[in-house]
Amino acid sequence: MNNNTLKNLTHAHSWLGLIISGVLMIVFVCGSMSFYRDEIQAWDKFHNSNKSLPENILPLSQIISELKNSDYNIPKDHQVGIEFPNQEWPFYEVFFNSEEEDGSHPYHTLNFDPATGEQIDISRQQFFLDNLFYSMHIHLFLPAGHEIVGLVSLLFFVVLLSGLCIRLKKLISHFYQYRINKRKDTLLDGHNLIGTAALPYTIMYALTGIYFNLGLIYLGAFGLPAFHGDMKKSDVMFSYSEPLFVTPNHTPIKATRYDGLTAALKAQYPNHTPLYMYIMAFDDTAAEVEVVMKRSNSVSGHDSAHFAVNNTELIHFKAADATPIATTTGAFESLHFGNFAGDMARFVMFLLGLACCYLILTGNLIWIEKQNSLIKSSKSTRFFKAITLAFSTGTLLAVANSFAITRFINGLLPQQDILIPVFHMTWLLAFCHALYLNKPRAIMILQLKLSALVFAISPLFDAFFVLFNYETYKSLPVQVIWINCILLLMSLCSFWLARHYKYKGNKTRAATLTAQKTN
Amino acid sequence: MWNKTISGFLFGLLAASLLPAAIIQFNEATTQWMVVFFYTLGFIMWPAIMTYCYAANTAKQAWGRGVAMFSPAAALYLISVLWGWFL
Repeated sequence: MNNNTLKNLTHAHSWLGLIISGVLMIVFVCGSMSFYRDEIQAWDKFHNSNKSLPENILPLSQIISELKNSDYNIPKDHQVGIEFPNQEWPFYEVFFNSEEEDGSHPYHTLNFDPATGEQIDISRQQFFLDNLFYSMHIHLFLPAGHEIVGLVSLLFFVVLLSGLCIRLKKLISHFYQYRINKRKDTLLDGHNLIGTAALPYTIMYALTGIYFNLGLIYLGAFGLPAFHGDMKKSDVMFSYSEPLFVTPNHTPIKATRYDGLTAALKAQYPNHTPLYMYIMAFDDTAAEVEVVMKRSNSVSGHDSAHFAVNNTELIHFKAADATPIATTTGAFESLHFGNFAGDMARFVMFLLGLACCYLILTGNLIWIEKQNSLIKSSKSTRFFKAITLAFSTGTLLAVANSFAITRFINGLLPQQDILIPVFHMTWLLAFCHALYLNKPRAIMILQLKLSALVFAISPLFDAFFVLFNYETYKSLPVQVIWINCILLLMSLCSFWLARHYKYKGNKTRAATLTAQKTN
Repeated sequence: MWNKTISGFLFGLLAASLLPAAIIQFNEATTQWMVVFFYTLGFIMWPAIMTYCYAANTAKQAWGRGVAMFSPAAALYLISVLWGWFL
């Protein structure tokens, strides 16, 4: 590779890195938090008992009756999807397309309370903190968020490939190089060291990120020429299961038939947990369902069983690895979610997620240092200083605020309506603060101290209650203790960082003053 | 830089979808596994072509590199379609 190529790749590496750094930082911070979704949800449920799954769950026929009595016109050749309530998703979710008089087919999602059968607003009652982190990681709660995150994953892959080309000659020989004399060298060596060590992991994340978020766009571009525009053939090739085709009898079915179906499922598949079902011609005696189930103690994809509802006859059963696309997606999901080798793998993946945050930060800081050495202060340097600060301490503060809101004002306000704006507003305010004042170090110290304070509120409040109201808290779930410990640790880390940078800043200022006096 | 981005993105997507699509056409007994394999391969080809375009010295060279990646894929796809008609 000649010098010009390397120069062009270095330019592209820094240019793309700077552009995607903001979104990538949120994606990696929230993604790393999502490795501990179950623990965060247990912590959330302990403090907000209204979110738990009730002991007695209404039978499926009640939900079918509610749907039959609703005003929606659901055509017989359209599917109705129903997600069963479980610990992670404690309500019935029904999704379908209705047919309107003007010929349009709007999409609807209805949620039903599993204890009363009443329709509920999940944004107010059932929005979990882990949903915030996970969904923020996938689509940032923005319009076209899936595509934005997919595009960022694609550019992230380009950044990784260009970084690999730049470092290729020195990949092994300079792996342990870590210079501490100059700040720029220290940042660059740290960036290279972590970048090289975490390369297989980062490439896996970039690839799976594109696969999950840009898959549909690419499928259109690939499927059209591959099957000469025959998208039905493309659907068959990329389907997770056989499509349901039913000829309706035009005779309404009794809703209680669906209870017979759930009883048959329990009897035939005692080691499976039904997750959701797709019903074709749901209010017809010819109705057929495809039930997607999770096998106990299995990390692979989901098995599915195809039933006729009227006589609960099993039409066919399909194991998880029945279609290549399901197997491929299952393998990618296991790699992406880190659930292939127990808690240790999850912890390692969590650390590697944080290592990626370090890569993004050092990448931005190297660029800022380079600009500082070229020009004293430019508008772009000021902008990127502010954005780097917003996506480091700003994101930290956003996470801290989310925990505090979930702990203290849950139930008072719709969770989904408050958590999402607060998350985005926090980093945006951190950015405006840094851009307006242009004192990055002082602002960083202030934001770190604020994060330390907000992170400490929940564990200190809980500790206070444990001390004075031991009876109520003696049965604390282990996950609650863990999350409180982690919050306390985050608080201490933020406080230590604030102190460290304050001390370092004072030292630099004293050295500058001494140098001026000597001159 | 914008020229490099657009040429890499556009021609990368076209080449990464046409080349695997063409290879599939030549095999009469296309299995689902083959389709999924080439579909997944496209996700690596796309950023690789973008990186190749970013390595160009000028915008013109970047467009040239994009076309150079796209043309063989398009030609191969055309041949594969003709192959299918004649068989």
